[in-house]
Amino acid sequence: MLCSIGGLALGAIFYHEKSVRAKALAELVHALRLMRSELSARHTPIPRLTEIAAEAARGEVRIFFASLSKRMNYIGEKSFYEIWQDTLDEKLNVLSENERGELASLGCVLGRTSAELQVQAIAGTEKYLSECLGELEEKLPELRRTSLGLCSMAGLLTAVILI
Amino acid sequence: MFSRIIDVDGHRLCMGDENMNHYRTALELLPTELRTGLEERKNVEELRLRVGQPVGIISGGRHYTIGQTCVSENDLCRIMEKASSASLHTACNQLANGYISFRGLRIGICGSAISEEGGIKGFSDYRSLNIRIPASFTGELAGVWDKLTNSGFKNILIAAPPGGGKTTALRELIRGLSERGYTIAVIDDRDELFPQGVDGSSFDCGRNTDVLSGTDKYNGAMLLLRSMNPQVIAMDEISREGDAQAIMEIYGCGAGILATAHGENLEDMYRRDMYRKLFDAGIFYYILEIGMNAARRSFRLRKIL
Repeated sequence: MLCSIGGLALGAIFYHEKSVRAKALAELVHALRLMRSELSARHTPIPRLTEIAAEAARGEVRIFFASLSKRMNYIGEKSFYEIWQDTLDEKLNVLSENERGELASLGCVLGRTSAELQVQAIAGTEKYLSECLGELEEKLPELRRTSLGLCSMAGLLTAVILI
Repeated sequence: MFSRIIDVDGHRLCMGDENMNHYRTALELLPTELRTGLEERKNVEELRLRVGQPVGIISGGRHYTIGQTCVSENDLCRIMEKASSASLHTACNQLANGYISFRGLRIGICGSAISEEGGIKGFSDYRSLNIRIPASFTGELAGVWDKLTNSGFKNILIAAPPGGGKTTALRELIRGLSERGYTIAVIDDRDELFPQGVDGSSFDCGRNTDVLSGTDKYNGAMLLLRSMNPQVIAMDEISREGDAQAIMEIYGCGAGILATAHGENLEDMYRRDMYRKLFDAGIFYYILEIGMNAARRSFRLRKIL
């Protein structure tokens, strides 16, 4: 009984991770969209953009942008890219390697080129993350069934072997 | 062309608290390892940063090398990032003119320019930066006032070679005239005369001064004449035909003119077409020549007859 409950809990944790990632992706896409429109309409400076994104987002993404915003004081001692990368590694590890890689590339462009090029780069990242989110959302119900089923089965199997 | 010389006493340019604050702001821009030996310096007018060389300073018109640490391109990138708050897109117009402003400092840029449609769009790499520390010599031009304002304001052109203190003198004249009750409008097209720091600080421009920035001199002059009814319009560095045209328009409208231009003296400027036209039209009544002799600046006010 305990083994099957343990398996079920493992499955739930696995599913929860995926669902947190999906939420983070959705929040990121939303924040990036906001940043893109701010940049193209008002050429807003990056420190203000990070504040706006932090105000608009929730969960991990809010923590990421809020932390980035605080660390902007270190500009000059560290490059913006280093700050972006460090914050990304620390605060958004819920994302996959590829998604983080895409965001890391965006960090190379932000604040260093014309507003138009930055808008294009943000749009590219937004599109990529939206696709990742779409795929994940498609898989999520099936993933829930599979992970819960497989893990509880594994728990049962372990219980049988132990008996 | 004739001129009568009225000498104004020469004065050493001294940095007051305001200037030291600007110098400290400039040091904040530098990465820690480049600040060594700079903290205690006084009377610094420029910080020169060139890739592969130690930091240089200009003080009293002379160049000095400070420390042994060579400046890297990464250092310049970090300075540019700090100066723009990691937002170079907000400084496109300034970059197109080869500089960027940071809390009242002007940073000149050299490197590989990215050109597009006949203009500079930005820089792909930086090779040298020149951080200019604004100076002021409040009260030092005392000898000029009576002559300038006796029986109404007389148009004056301030002439000096690059780095000679034209902008500083202009700032002082604007403040002085403003405090004497003249309504002055300033076209600060390069945001250098009265730059607004992020904390809202700026140089004291006097009680009756209106500052317009973000537009060229001609359009700025037209706007000010239409909307601000100034007694005197001030502008820094007349160097293009459009600037001379702005001067003509202001003169035609009856407002006074306070301007600066690159040049050694009246004779040097008279050799150049653009200035000759202005002198021949009788627009300027005085020329204030600023000379550099060792660490001492000298002022010479000449009446153009």
